[in-house]
Amino acid sequence: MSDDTSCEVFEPNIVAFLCNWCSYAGADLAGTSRLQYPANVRVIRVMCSGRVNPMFVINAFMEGADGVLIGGCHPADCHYDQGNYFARRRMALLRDLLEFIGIDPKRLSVTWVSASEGGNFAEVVRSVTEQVKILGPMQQLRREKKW
Amino acid sequence: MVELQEKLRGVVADLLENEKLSYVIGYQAASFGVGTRPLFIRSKEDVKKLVFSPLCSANLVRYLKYRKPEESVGVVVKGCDSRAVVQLIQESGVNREKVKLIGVSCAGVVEAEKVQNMLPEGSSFELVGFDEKKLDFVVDNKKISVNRSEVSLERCSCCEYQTPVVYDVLVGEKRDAAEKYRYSEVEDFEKHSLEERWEFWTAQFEKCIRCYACRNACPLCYCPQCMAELLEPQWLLRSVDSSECGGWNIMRAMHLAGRCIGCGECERACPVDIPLMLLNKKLEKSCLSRFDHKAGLDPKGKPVLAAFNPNDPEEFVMSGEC
Repeated sequence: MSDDTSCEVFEPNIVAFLCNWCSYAGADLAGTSRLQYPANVRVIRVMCSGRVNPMFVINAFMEGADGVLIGGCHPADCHYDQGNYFARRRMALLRDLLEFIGIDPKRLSVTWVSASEGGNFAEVVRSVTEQVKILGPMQQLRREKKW
Repeated sequence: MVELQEKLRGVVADLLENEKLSYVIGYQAASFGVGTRPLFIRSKEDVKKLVFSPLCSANLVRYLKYRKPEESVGVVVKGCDSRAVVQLIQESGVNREKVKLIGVSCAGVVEAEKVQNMLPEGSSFELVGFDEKKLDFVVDNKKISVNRSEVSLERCSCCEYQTPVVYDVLVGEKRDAAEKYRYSEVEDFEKHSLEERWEFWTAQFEKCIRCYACRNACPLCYCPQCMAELLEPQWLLRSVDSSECGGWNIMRAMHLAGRCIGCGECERACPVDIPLMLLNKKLEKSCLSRFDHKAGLDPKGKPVLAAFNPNDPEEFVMSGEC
């Protein structure tokens, strides 16, 4: 894709796992406030960022995502008290592992966005999209589906 | 050598009789060659088959998974094996009252396959003695010594727990291992660029045949239904290619993150020699530096991913306030 001469711009696919109580509401607020942000993110609502299994991320990469964003409540503000703390540990390790096997950890972003931070959500999506655009299409781990 | 083995046999016979154990898991000589295989001791007669030597490298804690809940069993554990038990206790996988631990102090084990390759062909192999430097074998009435450093397992070179961390009975003298740095291999690998790393690992993942021997050998992989084999949802397709095998290896490493006690059984079981311990050690290093956590040491502790500290480092978290 990158070596063709047409001026087609790379538009990354970004899967966002947003927690029901904060980040998803934040994204909703960004929408109702008519804030502009890149249309590259596809949002999947989960009840808590602690619900995100590392295999969700790996599967997203396998099935065509170029980047993954995980959004949770700010630390200490989790609707379930501690879900985001667990998510933070898990994702820290997953990022370390991805980097170790040669996948740029910038493809996996984690953010805390509260229900009132619509502007912040738009800003995060802008910077994530920018980051993944620079990295280019993800080649690794793509599912071949030979049979 | 004979002394340690006799002592162990005495302890096991004693436990079998007095503690009403259903069985004790130990080692016996392999049916052919120098190696050892697991032995399930149910009666006094079986105790005679019990052996212990540097050739006993398997982690017997693996077999605790198969005991019935009402059964009390005993198991022979080395230092690394005992950490697997501690980890299982943390995860409520083992009821401490139902499991008797026969700790054996261990100065490192050797790879039976390597030893076998160094010995001449023969019909009978017997280990007649060993010390810190060498192993003495008698092969068809001929005496042959093998240098221990040439055959010892890599994991033992940086072992910090030569005395089991938990045990009911200890056989052999307590040993203190000098603290050694375990992560130089990981750090060397981290010097490579992302592209080089990926090239290395795809080559490894392409070798993988998804036999799941790594999982089956692991004392801490005990789920009744493995995510790798689920059909609904199907996390990994059945096809054996680098993406699915890569997914499997990432999944396995993540499931052992902060739980792996470094016994190296996965790598030893791998038929295509994927350096699985490199992944495990990387995550071990991350857990140590990020959360100051080491697996399998404190029976009252919690697994690292089942606990948190509000002040955990979060340098990677993106903030929208810019």
